[in-house]
This record gives sequence, C-alpha cells and structure tokens, in this order.
Amino acid sequence: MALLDGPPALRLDGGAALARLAAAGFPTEALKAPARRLAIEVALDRDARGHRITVGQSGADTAPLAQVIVDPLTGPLAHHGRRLAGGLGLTSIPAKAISDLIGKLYTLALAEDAIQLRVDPVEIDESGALACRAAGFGLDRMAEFRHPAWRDLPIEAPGTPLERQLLAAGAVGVEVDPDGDIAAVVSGAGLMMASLDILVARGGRVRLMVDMQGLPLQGAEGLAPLIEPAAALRPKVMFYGGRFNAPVTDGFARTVVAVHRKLAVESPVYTWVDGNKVPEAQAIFAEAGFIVCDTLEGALAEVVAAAAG
Amino acid sequence: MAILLNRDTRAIIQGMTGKVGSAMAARFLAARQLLVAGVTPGRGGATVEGLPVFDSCHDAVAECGVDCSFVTVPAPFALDAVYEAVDASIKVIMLYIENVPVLDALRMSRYARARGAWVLGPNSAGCASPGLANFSEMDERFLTAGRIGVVAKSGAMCMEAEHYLKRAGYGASTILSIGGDAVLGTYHGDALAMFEADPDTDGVVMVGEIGGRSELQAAPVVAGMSKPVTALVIGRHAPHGRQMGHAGAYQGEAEEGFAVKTEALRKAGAWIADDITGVGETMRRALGNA
Repeated sequence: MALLDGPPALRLDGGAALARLAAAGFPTEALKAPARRLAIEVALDRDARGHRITVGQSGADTAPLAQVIVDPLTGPLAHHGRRLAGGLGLTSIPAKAISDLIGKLYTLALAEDAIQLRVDPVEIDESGALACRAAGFGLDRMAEFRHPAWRDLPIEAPGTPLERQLLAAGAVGVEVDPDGDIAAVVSGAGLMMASLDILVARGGRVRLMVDMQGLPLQGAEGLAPLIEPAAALRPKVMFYGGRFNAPVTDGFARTVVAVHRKLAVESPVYTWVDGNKVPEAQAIFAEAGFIVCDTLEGALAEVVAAAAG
Repeated sequence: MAILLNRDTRAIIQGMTGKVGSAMAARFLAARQLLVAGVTPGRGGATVEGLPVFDSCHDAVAECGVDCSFVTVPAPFALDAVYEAVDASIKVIMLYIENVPVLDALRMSRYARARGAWVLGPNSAGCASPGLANFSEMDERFLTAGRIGVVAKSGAMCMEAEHYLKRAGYGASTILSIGGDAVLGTYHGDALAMFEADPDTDGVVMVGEIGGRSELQAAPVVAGMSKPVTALVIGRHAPHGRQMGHAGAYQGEAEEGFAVKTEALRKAGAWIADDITGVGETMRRALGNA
C-alpha cells in the first residue's frame, strides 16, 4: 500500500502517544487476563483514496489478518467492523468491542490529522475489555496550522545540511552523488527530475539538483540565497535552465551572474532559458561569459561533455 | 471540443483579492480569457482588474454563469473553497495552491467526484485548451492548438511536452496539470479516459513520475484506448527515498518507481519515450502506427 510515508512526518510515539490516547478517552491500563494481543492500524492510502484499516496479531512482522478501505465520505461502516472483527476470529461481545474501538481510532486519526495511527498491542479479554498498550502517530506536517501544539513535537529535519539550507531559502535541493561534478539549478520539480534523468542517461555524474520553485518571481532577493550555496559548491560544471512564463528571465540571469561574480566561481556555466524575455537573458549570460544553449537537450549534452572533458 | 475547458468556459478565481489571485486575474485577462468574476468571502462588491468580486460561488454562478474555478486561497481554506465551488455546481476546479493537508485533499477529491466535478490538484499548474481557453501558468502565446492531449502532474512537464510536440509538428487539444501533491483530485487514468472520449484528440502524451500509483492505475485505461498513448515516467535516477520537489514525488516501494511503472505502461500498449525531449518524435511514431 502507498502510505504517505515519504517526507518524514511528524512523529508522536512512546509515552506521549499513549498519553494522547488516554486523553482522548481510550483505555490504556493493562488487562489482568488478556486473551489476545492485537494490532490495529489506520493509515491514509493515497492510491486507494481512503483510509486503510488493517488488523492483525501484535508484532511488527505479522501479516495482516484483515483490512478494509474506508471512504472519507462515509467513514467506517458496520460491515467494515464485522469484516475486521471476523478476520481476527472474534465473535459476539469481543467483536463488538473491537469494532467500536476501530471506529473511535478512525475518528481520532481524522481529528489528529494522522497519516498513520498504529496501536500495538491492543489487549482484549473474553469480556470484551480492551487496553491500548502502545501507539504511534505519523502526523501530516501540512496540517500543522490546525494543531499549534505540534510545534513542541520533535521534528526529524529531512535532508543534508545543504538541502536544508536550500529548503530554508524556499527551494528544493537534492544531493544526488557526493562525487558528482555537475550542479544544475532549474525551474520546476518536473524539470528537475527530467533533467537529472537526461544527465545521468548521458553519462553525467550529478552532484546537486535544485528546483527553484517560485523564487524567480521574487527577484534577486529571493533568488540569491538559493543560487549562492549551489554555486559555492564550485562543481566542475554548472547548469541553469528553465522555461519562464512570467517576464522574469532577465532578472534571473542578472542574479545568477551577480552571484557567480561575487563568489568568483570559475566553473563553466551552461544556460538554457525559454519563454518570456529570453533574448535579454541570453545577452546577460553571454556577456558574463556563460555558454548559452538554445535547447534543453543541447544544453544537457554540452554539460555532460564538459564534465567529462 | 477538447476536454474540461472550451471556448465558452466561464471562469472565476477564488481568492482573487489576494496577491496570487489578483496576479493571475491580470494574466488571464491580458491573454483574453473568459474570466468573469472573483470570489472572496467578505469582499463582495469589490472589484479586481475591473471584474466583480462576490462573497460566494453561489452568487458568482447566479450573476455571471460559471463553469470553472481557479482556486488561489491559502491552504487552510482550500477544503472549504472546493466544497463551496462543488456545491455551487461548478464542474472544473483547479487547485493552484500547494501544501494542502492530505486529509483535506482526500475529502475534496471524493466529494467532487461524487457530485460530478473534477478537481485538478492540489499543486496544479492549471489547464489549457490552446486557442479555446487557458486557465493555467502556461503562456498562451507559446501554445499551439492541435489534436494531442497532454497530461502530467508537473506544470513544467506540461510545458516541455507541449514544446516537443510542437517541434514534431503537433499541437495540443488540452494540456492538463493534475498536480504534484500526494493525494490528487484527478489522476492520469481519469484524464486518459476523457481524452479517449474527445473527438478532437487523436493521441495522448502522459508524463508520470515516481511516487504513488497513478501511472499503474492508468495502465488498464491505456490498454483499453483506441488512441495511441506516449508515456514517460520521470525520476528514474532520483536517489531512492528522496522527495523530488513535488510532495508526491517520493518512491517508497518498488511499485512506485520508474521501472515498474514504465513496464506496466509498455505492456498496456503505451509508446515509451526515452526522456521528455523525445515525446514528440515518439508520438509521431505512435500515430504512424495507429
């Protein structure tokens, strides 16, 4: 299943997670005579376009015994509960108890903007008494505005120091190969991936790829903090490229040139721009001694050749 | 015809009094698009770029007649904005903004589909039917009308695909950016089905990327199409486990990667381009064999 486990989510685990369950009214005190120890997971599945609820025996490595997809328009339905309880081999009162618990966990996952909520173990006895003994939440960082208290949670900062520096500047950087000799700064996440693919396919070894995101619209003030750390790497070859629909291409070129002059970067610079104000931008690049290419494929081929030469 | 947007499409911008909304309004009007109004709750009666601003989508629909909304409100308000547009019977909703909570994206997607509306995004660059209507980041002056559909998550890939189609002698019927976030309102397969039904589309370029399974889910649609599909999955050389700019461009399991997706599309009958610069020529070969 394609859980949203990509960029590190905020995590709430251990005692803090169990305390959150207790505060929400879930039983957490150990049972005296548990008959079963189970695991329940409520996780947002991006491709199923709903929440996947999975149940099984306690333990990280055990196979799920049953799972259902819950439509966000309906929430869990009675038949979901019956199917999950049946998968666990529960009947009668324990089945009703576990079904009710699952419904409440789903509601909690929504309230907490949890991408993933796993409770393991869940103790249950013959009378249907339950105890949630350990839990973990993966929280959607994009929902932080709804949860001011998350600011106090430990955040696993993603990426390398350079990637974090670029992120702070408002861009996305990916350090690809520490031994690479090409750094490329382009406009758009898609172009970042597509350019990387072409460079590597042609034999290039890429040190860094950067997606400028919307920073060209912010002028030199927004762009310089992104370009400086990339240029400061002083790779063997640099590439700047993008198709600019807004009339910012000349400003982009001026900022790139200014940063390279300021840092006295001597690496050869290849450029490709298209869209608005292209002649102006190309003139600025050419005047600075940068290599101006007319096509993306031509530019990337020249970059790889220069790095190999 | 084309899909989603046509010559008579009447659009609003939700959030038009904001910085992004007003900038996009100026751009759409400069390109002579049929932008008819804006909506910002509490700002009814104002004007932006000479267009009226309404308090609600219902008011805008009643006063101006609206088919499409371009949503630029801040992420915390996106869910409410989309619900309101859907409830006002607007059938095409383009969510330009990013960083929308995934639960909100999930809810708006399901809500819209259940009511016959399409949401593009979050993080969509918009949609353009060149020569007919263009509510997107793409500059109308650089687009060429034609009979090839384009669908990509990325706005940049929409533009590059259109460019390389043009180099090969083709124009686009509709160019559709479905957005780069992890949970979307419209997926590749949805767009392919629309293009298959469009009499003015002869073939489709589909650009996928690593992360998620939209491309895998599109494979059976490709297999059932009568029109040729040129496909490309970008992110082949992305370092494993890294987010590549888009919130959704993250390969966790192998199925979310280049190899599995590309093979699934190839087996379904898609013509696979080596890279984005090759989509035009690949489409030429595909059409030649159609």
